[in-house]
Amino acid sequence: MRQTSAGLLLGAALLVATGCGLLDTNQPNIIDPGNLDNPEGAQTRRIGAIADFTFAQDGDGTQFEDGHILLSGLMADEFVLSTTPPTEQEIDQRRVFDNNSTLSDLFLNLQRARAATEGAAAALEQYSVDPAAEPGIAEMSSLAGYTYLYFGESFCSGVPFSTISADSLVFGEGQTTTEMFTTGLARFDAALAHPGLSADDGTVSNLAAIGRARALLDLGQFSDAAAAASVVPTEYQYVTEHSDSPQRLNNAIWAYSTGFLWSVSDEEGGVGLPYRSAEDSRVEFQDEEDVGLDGSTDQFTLLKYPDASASVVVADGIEARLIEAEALLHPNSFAGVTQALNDIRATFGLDDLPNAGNRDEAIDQLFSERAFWLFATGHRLGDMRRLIRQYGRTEDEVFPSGDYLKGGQYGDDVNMPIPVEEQNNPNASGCIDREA
Amino acid sequence: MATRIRPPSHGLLRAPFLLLCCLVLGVPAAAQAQQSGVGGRVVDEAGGAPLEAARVVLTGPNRIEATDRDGRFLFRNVTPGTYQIRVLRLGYKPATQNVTVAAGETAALEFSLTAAPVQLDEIVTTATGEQRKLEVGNSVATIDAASIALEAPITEFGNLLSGRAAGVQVQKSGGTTGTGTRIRIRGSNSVSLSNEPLYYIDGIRMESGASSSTLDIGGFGQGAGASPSRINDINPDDIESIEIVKGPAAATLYGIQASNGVVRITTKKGRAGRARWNLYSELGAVDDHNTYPINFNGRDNTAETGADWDTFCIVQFELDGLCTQTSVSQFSPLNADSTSPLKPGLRQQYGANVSGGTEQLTYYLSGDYEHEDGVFRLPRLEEDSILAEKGSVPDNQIRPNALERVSLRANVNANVSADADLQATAGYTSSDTRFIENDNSFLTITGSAEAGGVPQDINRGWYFIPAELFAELANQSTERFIGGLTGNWRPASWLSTRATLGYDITNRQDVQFFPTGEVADYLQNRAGLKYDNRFQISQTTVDLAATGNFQLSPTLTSKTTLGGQFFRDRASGVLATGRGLPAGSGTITGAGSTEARDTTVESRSLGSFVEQQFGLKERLFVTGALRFDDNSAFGQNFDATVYPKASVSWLVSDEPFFNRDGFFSTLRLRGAFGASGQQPGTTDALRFFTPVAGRRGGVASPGITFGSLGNADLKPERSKELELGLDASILDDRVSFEFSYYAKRTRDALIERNIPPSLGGSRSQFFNLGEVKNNGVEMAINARVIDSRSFTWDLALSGSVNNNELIELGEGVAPIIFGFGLQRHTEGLPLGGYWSRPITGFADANGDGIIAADEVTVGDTAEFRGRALPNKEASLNSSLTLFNGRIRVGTQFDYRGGNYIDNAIESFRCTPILNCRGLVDRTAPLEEQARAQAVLNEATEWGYFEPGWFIKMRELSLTFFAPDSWARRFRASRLSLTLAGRNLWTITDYSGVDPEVNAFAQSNFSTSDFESQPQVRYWTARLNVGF
Repeated sequence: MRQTSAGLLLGAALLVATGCGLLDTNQPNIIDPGNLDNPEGAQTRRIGAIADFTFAQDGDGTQFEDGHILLSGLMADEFVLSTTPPTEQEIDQRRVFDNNSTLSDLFLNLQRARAATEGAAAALEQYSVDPAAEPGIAEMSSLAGYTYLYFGESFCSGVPFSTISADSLVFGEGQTTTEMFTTGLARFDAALAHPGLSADDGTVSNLAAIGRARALLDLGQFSDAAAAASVVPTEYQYVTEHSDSPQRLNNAIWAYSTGFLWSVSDEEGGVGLPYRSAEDSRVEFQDEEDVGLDGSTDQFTLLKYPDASASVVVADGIEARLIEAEALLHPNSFAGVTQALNDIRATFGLDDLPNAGNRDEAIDQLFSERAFWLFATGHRLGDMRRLIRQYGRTEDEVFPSGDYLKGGQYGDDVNMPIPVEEQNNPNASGCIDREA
Repeated sequence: MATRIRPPSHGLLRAPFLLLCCLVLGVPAAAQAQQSGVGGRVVDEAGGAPLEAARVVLTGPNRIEATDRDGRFLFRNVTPGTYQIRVLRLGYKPATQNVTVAAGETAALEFSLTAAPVQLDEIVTTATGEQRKLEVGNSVATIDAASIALEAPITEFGNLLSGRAAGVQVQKSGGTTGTGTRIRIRGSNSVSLSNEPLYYIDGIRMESGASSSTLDIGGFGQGAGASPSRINDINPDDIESIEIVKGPAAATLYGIQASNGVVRITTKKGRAGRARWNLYSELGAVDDHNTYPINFNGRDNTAETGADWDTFCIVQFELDGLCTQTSVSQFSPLNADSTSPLKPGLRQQYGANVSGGTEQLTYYLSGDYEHEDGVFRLPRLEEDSILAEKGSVPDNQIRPNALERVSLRANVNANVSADADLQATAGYTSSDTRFIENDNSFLTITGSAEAGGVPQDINRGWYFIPAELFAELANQSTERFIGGLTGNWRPASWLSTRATLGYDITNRQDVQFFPTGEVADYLQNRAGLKYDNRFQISQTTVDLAATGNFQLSPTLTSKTTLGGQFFRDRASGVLATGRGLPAGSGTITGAGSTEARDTTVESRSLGSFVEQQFGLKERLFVTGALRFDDNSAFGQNFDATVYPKASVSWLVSDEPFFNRDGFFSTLRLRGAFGASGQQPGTTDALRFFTPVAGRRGGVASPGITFGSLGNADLKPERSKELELGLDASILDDRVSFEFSYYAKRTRDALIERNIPPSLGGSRSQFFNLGEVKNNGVEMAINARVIDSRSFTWDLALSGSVNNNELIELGEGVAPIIFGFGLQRHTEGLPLGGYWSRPITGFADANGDGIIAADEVTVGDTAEFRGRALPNKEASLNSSLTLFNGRIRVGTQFDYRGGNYIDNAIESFRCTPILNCRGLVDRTAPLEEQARAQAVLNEATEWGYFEPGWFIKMRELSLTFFAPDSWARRFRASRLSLTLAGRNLWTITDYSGVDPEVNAFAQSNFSTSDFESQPQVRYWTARLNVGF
């Protein structure tokens, strides 16, 4: 009888335990979205969005996630690959297949940065105590705008942009290259129009202004671009910040360079710019007198980012002046272009350039100056495409071609394709075209 | 903020579970039987020797006892009546007697068993408890682990499974000591979830992570490379038997997670009698006998270029006028004795166990020490150099790959009363394993030798020299305890109950240390780097069951079982990293930068079942069952799940119409149908963000990033299986034959679907979308080919063919591409097949003996090349006994095929490294040149997907059983010496080193040979002494 009672008691105890949630678990490593629906949560989303943007633009220090600067520079003439992964070699060789996992990572990370910044802007608008005094909203809109520019400048025409809402997924249709720049422009316009800029010290408004100018430049609206850039002081900078720790916040351009994975290029494929032989202080490098990790490529290590915590410029006053200089090309003021470029060079103690004798020389001068000033900031691939699209250069005149240094030939890609995973989007069908 | 997951309540599920609690723990003892019993003795008919470990079945109440050392058995507390007693023992024909038990008396029986080479009936353990195999309508493979471990070259648990059960594939992913094992039973069911089986040890669910490591030691992904599997923590010498439940038809009652099959491990138990000691000592060598690919270095040593080796003058460059190939050197530092770090390692194992006890209490205690040095040793030249410079060389730099393990076990059984017994099992393992980098890393020995592109006269042919690579320490330490308590109580003659409580806990520390200034100059490692990751992984089991046995009529029996289980799996860890360490320091303290994070994952499941079995005349058994399950990982919109099961087993040869003097001695037909499942991952159903570090205004700030989309409708995937088979013995029980056909469908398959990255969310999202088919046949033949007094020869041949196909991936789901774009899940094809753009043709058009770039054509779109996982396997085990049993020779041949393997290291040597024969040597076969040109110029892997079939002589053993007189000289009762070898010989068409490797470790589908350490050869000598 005693045994029976004990058993029944234990059974009852288990019943109580069951009712109390035998299947409840604790998952401390995840955050329920509902916990972020408040002012503090919105600010946390803003910091997270900046981290996502930094990660997408600059990569991370683990050497497993290449950022936009590294990969667009690899496809352009800034870097040659001095390590071995075939997926990175495809990009260096301008022969990228849509199942390239490195490409997929970049595309996803840029989209995550785009969605995170747009989401953070919306959260700040909804949950800030006083949105009209919150410059973070314009900052998020601006950073979102830059992601559209990165897509437009580095990827083929046809990139879709989809959204995640609380209860549905909205699949976007592919946007043409022009549409991407236009969408980016709209984000910058929204930022500049936001009342929250009243509390801004210029940090955000100048970021938006340069973004707007860059978008207009991409769209070929040169004088409007110059006008947008004109409000930005030359000494202005907006940077992504890095740190020794955690590794996700390391400056990956520094890590890839000092890790002998990326090497500074020189006249790559016959038509690349002489980044090394020009011995220009804006592209400082070190001849390691050694080969990279691939065992064959001579290693020239970029010194622009001296350590893991070096910041990376997203937009600055130099770029604003360069945009103004480019606008002078269109009334064919070649002397004006050179003068504008020399004015910028003077700020850095560089010797004057000789006057450009004709339009082609002025174009060469301008784009070379842009390449050196903006080296390893994610501008060069877009500029090389603009040389074809806006200035009538041929692909072979702009992009490296011929024998690839590790065997085989350069391909004919001038941009990156949409990764194969996007085939799961019912409203998108890959690249509309692969033109510049 | 942490998220607490509270699933919906399911009364349907819990009611039977609670009812069971009451049954097991407190059924009124009103039906207590009188103190009657049945006892007896079982002996060998030939010599009258008592037979230990025979299983005796009291039919009706369906109770099972084992004989002790004197061959005695006793059933206590038996209700008066007439019963059938059946005795089963390995190597003997079953025997049956009827007995009448009178009130207050114990009936006595004597069984004399006749030897028989093969037998179909035995006792197996199912989810409802022990029962005769003949009652079970599905195939159950039983491995006599205790016998195998005594004689075969078993160096780890996975060896016990390899080649011993049809339909079970064991793939050790490399030859590095400590490397884990990928195991598949009847193919792969799941597209996106684990396809590893579920493991139980003594009724306790066991942590069995196939790749249990965070060490970044190469391979594709952290924790890959030569990562260990937790199943190898179990000491093979402690195992009595292993039963393999192969699919959902059999595994239904094990609930969710059982659809990949269940492996049940039973450890050794004591038997009543005086203490019996067994000591063993094993010494051996581990040897890499493989020949590695040669590096071909083409040079242009013309006056114009000088003697610069890095010109990499391949034939195509010469054709393009870029260089003049003046010489081709051929060398691999792995093949030259002076440079190779591959030297035999020492293996040693020592152990002792003692068992014995009384009728009331039996015990089994054991201890085991194992040490194995892998095949890597610092070359003498480099050791001398370090000695001269520093005066000493750390042991881990001399032998960077080694394993040391101590195993202890204590199993105690107590007969608490006439109707209750208690079993306590406790196993403890402490291990330290030093790993070396493998598979896709700049820091591997294989990579530095094969893919460095360095000729012999530079750095002795190494990219990084062994001394630099071996200075890295990658060590995993574990402390593991698995303990359980099982109580059996028979409150009435018709009712038996069982309760098991179990706990498996592992404390694991993964340490990876790059001493400052001593390691290879790779990334920032030389500045000093240390990872110190500490985990605690636990599994809790509560298992309750009650079985009622009824004699409905003289010929009809009924068995009803009600059961319930609760499982809790939890893993938590803290991961710390320090970069930039002070010279001479081995700690993260003082590092230039530090980083820390933590992780916790937990899942819980609750299930119950009811099973009804009817037996007609002890030869026809019909079983039906239902299983209910709920799990913390199910989506909020999903309730509990129900799995049905039914089976029939018909012992045709016991029917009156069957002529047992004919061809068949025994014939059984069986059929089973059942369903089981796989639960989603712990957080797969949830939408969430994850914390991430941010930085603004020069200040570290906390942020969040998107974690997962989640899916509130997520439910377990569901596998249904129909199995039909027959078991027969012929030629007077000298040959047994088993055949099974199975048809398995996994519906609502959980597909980790790639979602459009344009959403800006996670990479993938789980949906119940897919359908996977696995059909196949299995066959096993056991035969005594020769049976004489002085000479016997037993052969066991088993094999299986599996047809795996992805039926449906889900509407609108694009093929899932993985494995660096070379493997795909595509509808209508096997899961994870290899794809690439095909080489459509090549021809030496100009007849110069060279395939130039423009003489190879490649298709525009990727095509299916073949399976990546074997779908055919066979094994042949032979046991030859000579000189009246004094000598036994055992062999095992292992075949696997039907698949391709990606020779990725060879294609990588072509591009980007440019040191493969196909590109450098103008005398290379044209086909070799063609595939090299295709990968160089068209980036297609097609030519490097090679047939992966092989036949291996897996085991060879020779055991000498000393005469008793010899043993007595050492005051021993038994003495044997075994000489054995493992992985001795391979036949294959594969041009790489070994088709049985995987750079993706124990990954679900991803498979590739890339800088992988091939399987190594073992030679061991083992002395067994019994007292």
